Amino acid sequence: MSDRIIVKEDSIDNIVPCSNRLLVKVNLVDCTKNGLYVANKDWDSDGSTVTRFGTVVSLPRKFYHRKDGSSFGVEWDTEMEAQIGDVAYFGIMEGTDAPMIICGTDTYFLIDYAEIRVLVRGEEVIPVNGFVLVEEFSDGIKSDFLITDFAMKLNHKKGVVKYVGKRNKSYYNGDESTCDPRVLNVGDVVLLQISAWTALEDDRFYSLEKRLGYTQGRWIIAKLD
Amino acid sequence: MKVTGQRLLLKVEPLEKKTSGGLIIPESAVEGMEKLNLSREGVIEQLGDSDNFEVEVGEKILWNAKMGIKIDDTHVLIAQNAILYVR
Repeated sequence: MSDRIIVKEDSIDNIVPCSNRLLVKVNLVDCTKNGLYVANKDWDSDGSTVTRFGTVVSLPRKFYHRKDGSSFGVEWDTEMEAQIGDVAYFGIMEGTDAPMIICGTDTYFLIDYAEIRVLVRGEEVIPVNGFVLVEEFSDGIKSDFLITDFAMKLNHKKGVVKYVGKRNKSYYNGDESTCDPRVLNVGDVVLLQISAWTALEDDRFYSLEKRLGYTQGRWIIAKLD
Repeated sequence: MKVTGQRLLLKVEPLEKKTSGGLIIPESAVEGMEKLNLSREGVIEQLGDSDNFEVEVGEKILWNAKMGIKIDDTHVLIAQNAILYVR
């Protein structure tokens, strides 16, 4: 469960996130017609949250890369693309573990930029950090060696590229085989490395598109005709 | 004490031993709160010798208390990545 910080209502505007984090406003409380505030579906039964997106309200002053000697910097060569007002989708673990700020009835997360998968700016969907949004096919490539149900879930997956952003130029701990594809277009059918596809949202509560998932460009191992 | 690298020396307020309503908080409860390592605010007193900081001396920050090294009752040494926000 995340660390919870309570701040006074007039102080949230002065908060500038640090260490590559973004301040993201999330919706964890709904208001009834009678003015009663209730926790919404994004709370799990153990008191943690499962929310996957929020609105960016503040950016850090500086963006760090690991290659500059910062242990907490991003591990790939990319730029900070987030802008205030963007809707940021992040990994499920961030929705559970990111430090939470509570300000009156509003809730905010301090999200590590490297955990942002995609930004939505108006009508524009912008994958960041080298992520690619892929709609998976139900038929994976099956290995002759994988025979159990559990193992079947670990098969390589095929998918159709739906949204592409800027490629990461390099990975600081990577090698030649772990770079993003030089050319990747919407509509390309791709083969992904094992376990490299994760649903962007719970398909019961999706807000963007159903069956949309993310993978990082480096985990696309082939383009298929 | 001269801090090195991308680390900072913080001056922190000791945990309150009295509520805003005047109730005395027992010593054991204060110690318990310290053990919880809840994020706390502090003022930057010294920066390390790195030139790669996004904060300045005198700024008030919130730091992740799980990541600090207690120097004495009012001073903590932290790495830059323990800073959650500045204001």
